[in-house]
Amino acid sequence: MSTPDPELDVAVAAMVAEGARFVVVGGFSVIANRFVRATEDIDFLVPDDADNDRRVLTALAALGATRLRDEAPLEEKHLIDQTHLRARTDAGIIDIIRGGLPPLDYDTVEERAMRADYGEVEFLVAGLSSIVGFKRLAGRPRDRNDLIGLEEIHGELPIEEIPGLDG
Amino acid sequence: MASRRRTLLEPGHEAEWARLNAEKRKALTPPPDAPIGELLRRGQALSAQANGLLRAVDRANEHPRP
Repeated sequence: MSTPDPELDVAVAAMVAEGARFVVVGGFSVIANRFVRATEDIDFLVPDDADNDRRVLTALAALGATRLRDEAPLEEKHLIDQTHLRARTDAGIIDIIRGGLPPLDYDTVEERAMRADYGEVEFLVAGLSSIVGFKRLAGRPRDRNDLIGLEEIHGELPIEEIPGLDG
Repeated sequence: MASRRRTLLEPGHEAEWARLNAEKRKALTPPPDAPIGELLRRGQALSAQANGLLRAVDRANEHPRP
C-alpha cells in the first residue's frame, strides 16, 4: 500500500480540533529550528494521559488512520498504556511517542517548545534543547548529521544530561 | 505509588528502535521503478512543507500571544 506524503498542516489541524496536547518532534522540529532537510513522516510527542490519548485517537481516526504494522483500525489499546503508536493516515505516517525521562519528558518539552502558526491553527514544536536531547539519545547517522547542521546554524548546542546516557 | 509507564525515550531500547526504523524505511522507500518525475514531485512537496513550517514559526514569533 502506498503511503501519502506527510501533510503536517492537516495532521496538526486534526489534533488541535480534538483539543489534544502534543508537541511536534522529529524531522519537522529540526526544520522548524532552521536546519532544513527532507522528512517523510510526522512525529508527535504526547503526555502520559489516557484522556489525551483518546483525543489523539479520535484525531487520527478523522485522518483515516490504521495501525501501520498490521493495517488494523485503531483501538484504544493501541495507544493507551503504550509507549508508541505508528499510524498510516491520509496525512502520511504519524508516530505518536510517549515522553521520556526529564529533560525529555512531555512537560519539559512542552514548556520549552516554540509556537508555530498556520493561520487557523497554532501548535507547539520542540525547541532546540529538546531536539538536541532526542538526537543525542537516538544516535543514528541522520541524528548526528542533524546535530552538525543545527550547530552550524545555532553555534554551540545546549547539552543536558540524559539519564542513562550521560551517567 | 503509581508505577511509571515505560518509554522508548531512554537508553536500552535500541533493538526496538531498530525494528521501528526498519518498518518505517520499508513503508517509505519508493519502488525501484518509480518514475523520476514522481520522485521529483515528492521532493518538491516535502520542500514546500518545510518552507510552510518555517513561515509558520516566523508568523508565531511576529505575533506573540498576549
